[in-house]
Amino acid sequence: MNRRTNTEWLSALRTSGQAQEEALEDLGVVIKSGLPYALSRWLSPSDPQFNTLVDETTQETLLRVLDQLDSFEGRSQFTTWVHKIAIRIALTELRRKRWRDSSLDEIMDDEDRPAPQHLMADSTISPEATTEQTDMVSHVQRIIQDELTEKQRKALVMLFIQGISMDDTARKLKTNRNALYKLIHDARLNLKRRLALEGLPIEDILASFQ
Amino acid sequence: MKFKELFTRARKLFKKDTELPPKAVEMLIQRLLITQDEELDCGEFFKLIDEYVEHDLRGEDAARLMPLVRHHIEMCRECHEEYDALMSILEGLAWQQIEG
Ligand SMILES: [Zn+2]
Repeated sequence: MNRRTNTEWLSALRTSGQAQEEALEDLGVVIKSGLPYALSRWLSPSDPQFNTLVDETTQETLLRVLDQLDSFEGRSQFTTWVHKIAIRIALTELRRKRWRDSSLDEIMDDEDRPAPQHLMADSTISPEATTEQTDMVSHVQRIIQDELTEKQRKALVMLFIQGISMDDTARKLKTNRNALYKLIHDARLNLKRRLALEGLPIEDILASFQ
Repeated sequence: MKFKELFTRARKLFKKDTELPPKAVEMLIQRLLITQDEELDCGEFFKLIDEYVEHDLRGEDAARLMPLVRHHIEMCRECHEEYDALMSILEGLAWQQIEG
């Protein structure tokens, strides 16, 4: 296989005909040789789904690379940029699968279904917790109720308690991953500001959870 | 009394008040320790992560050169996974080349 510089990759992929076909074929080899290193942590290479995932991700990556060629800014090796895209595609698929398997849809849509006991109970607070500690925790809980929107609190429960991925949480809340990150970032900033205003050091609050 | 009960029930029906369980409160507060005014979102992170890992692999101090990228890795589970995956690929391929 030809080793190409960034410029050579770009010009070959932008042509049509044989030069482009060769470049796509070589790029497919690059993607396929890299992906197993990333995926073996998620899926056993002996799993029948492994090769399917590698093949499908490679095809999808080649399409996306061609589509987004103009957005490559030359900040890295072209192939590193391509691996990054392949990872995004493969992990998104794996996370979606994991989500489907746990039939989270059912859990999420059933509003009355109680959350698992161990999550709702004050499991973080030991029975010997002083009143001072429990007071602090409920005080902070009230502040959170005040400062955060319903949507922000809902997102935090999905991410922290139910362990739902960013993409799936975003989908459930009819937003996208970037906006979801900003939503949580805003929540953290608001809370941090309010705690500072009340003169409550974060370390002290955390200590009351011990 | 009856009316008040009805009112509370109606309020519950229409206004869903999610309360954070203590575990989530604790996780949220922990993250406040590393919360910054300026942070990258996942899309901004995605644009820069290939450059970041190449600094890393050249043995340069990527965290110092691109502190916002480092911060997002610590803050975001998904992007952390994608960073790990990209490192695994580049390291794996580099070894493959050395071993011929
Ligand atoms: Zn992220």
